Amino acid sequence: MWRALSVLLLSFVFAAVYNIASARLKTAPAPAGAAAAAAQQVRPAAKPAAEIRTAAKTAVVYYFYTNTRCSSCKAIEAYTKEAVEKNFTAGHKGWKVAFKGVNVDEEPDKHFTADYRLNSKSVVVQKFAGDKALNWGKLEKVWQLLGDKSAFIAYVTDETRRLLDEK
Amino acid sequence: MSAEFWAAALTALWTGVITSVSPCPLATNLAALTYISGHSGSHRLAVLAHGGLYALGRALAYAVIGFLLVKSLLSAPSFSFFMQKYGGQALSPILVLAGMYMLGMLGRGFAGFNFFDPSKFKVKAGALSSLFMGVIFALVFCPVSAALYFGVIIPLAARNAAPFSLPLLYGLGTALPVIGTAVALDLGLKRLSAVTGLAGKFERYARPATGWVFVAAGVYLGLRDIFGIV
Repeated sequence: MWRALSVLLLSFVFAAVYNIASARLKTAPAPAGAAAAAAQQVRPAAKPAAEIRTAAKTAVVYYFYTNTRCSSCKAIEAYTKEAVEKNFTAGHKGWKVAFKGVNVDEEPDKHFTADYRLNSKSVVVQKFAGDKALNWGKLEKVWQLLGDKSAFIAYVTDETRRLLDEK
Repeated sequence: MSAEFWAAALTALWTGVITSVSPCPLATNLAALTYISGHSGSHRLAVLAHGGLYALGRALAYAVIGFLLVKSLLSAPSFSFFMQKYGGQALSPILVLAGMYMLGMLGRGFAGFNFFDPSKFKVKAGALSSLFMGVIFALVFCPVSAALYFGVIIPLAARNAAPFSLPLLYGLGTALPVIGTAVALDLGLKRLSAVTGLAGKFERYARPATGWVFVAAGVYLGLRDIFGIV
């Protein structure tokens, strides 16, 4: 029994190390030529969801996440979405507001990490005039307010309105 | 020192406590707690001393990273995401192997994890292991610790021109709940031993209990960060 458990745990360790190594190999940087070609296709810093891109004044409340999900991260996503759906369905002073979740581990969206200097799962409000990206704000307190849903929703709502009211 | 600095210092310490009591660092906190509590009874102040060293290890890790970030020697976004992605992944097999070593699963001749051997705390050389554990556990960033450390503490340190002291206080804060629980547990166990006369019983079970907690924490981190199952 003891020996079987030891073998099982050692197998787990080998599988874990193998998984880490193979994942690292898969995500190794592309050759210089491929990188140069990819660089030419780099997307602009931030784009709104396609369906709202045509509107003149739009704002996207982004929730940025990674492949590794956690209960707190899912709560931030749900609360932020709820804040937008509850308080911005009719927009705000001519601004159309939408929620969008973006996985920054996916290749086309990795640039958001550098664009908004993200450190963790984050909420960012980005304003657009048509396709042109305007000012944006990162909602730094979402992690501190996570334990209080109503305070969290009020914070996201107030900060979004404040940013939209800014010139 | 200005009032603003003291307010920032208090914020850093409190943010550390908040980080530590969130659900995400639970696996490493439990491992640290059983590891530190494992010295109950070995010496009157052993739990406090090893708790202090664990806190110092965490504080030093955060202070060094903070210093490098504020001095712009490291890029916060790439470092943060790298540590969130690979910190837990790297720690998982280490914790499982260390736990297996404590449980005697790796054979009698194996001495590679002596560093994690609680019995070594009875001699001076073993004291470094708590410090080492603090450094390693601090480097395993959860989304919440990354958000609070990189999003609150680093800007605060930069604003107050305190790249070393504020991250250091944050690190101490992250260790406080673990030390507090370990000391309370230690006092409770000593009182229980005095009443029931079961002195020494706890010590006998401390090592295997710590080993099992390390294995469980390692498996949990692996399932969460490597295999994406939990």
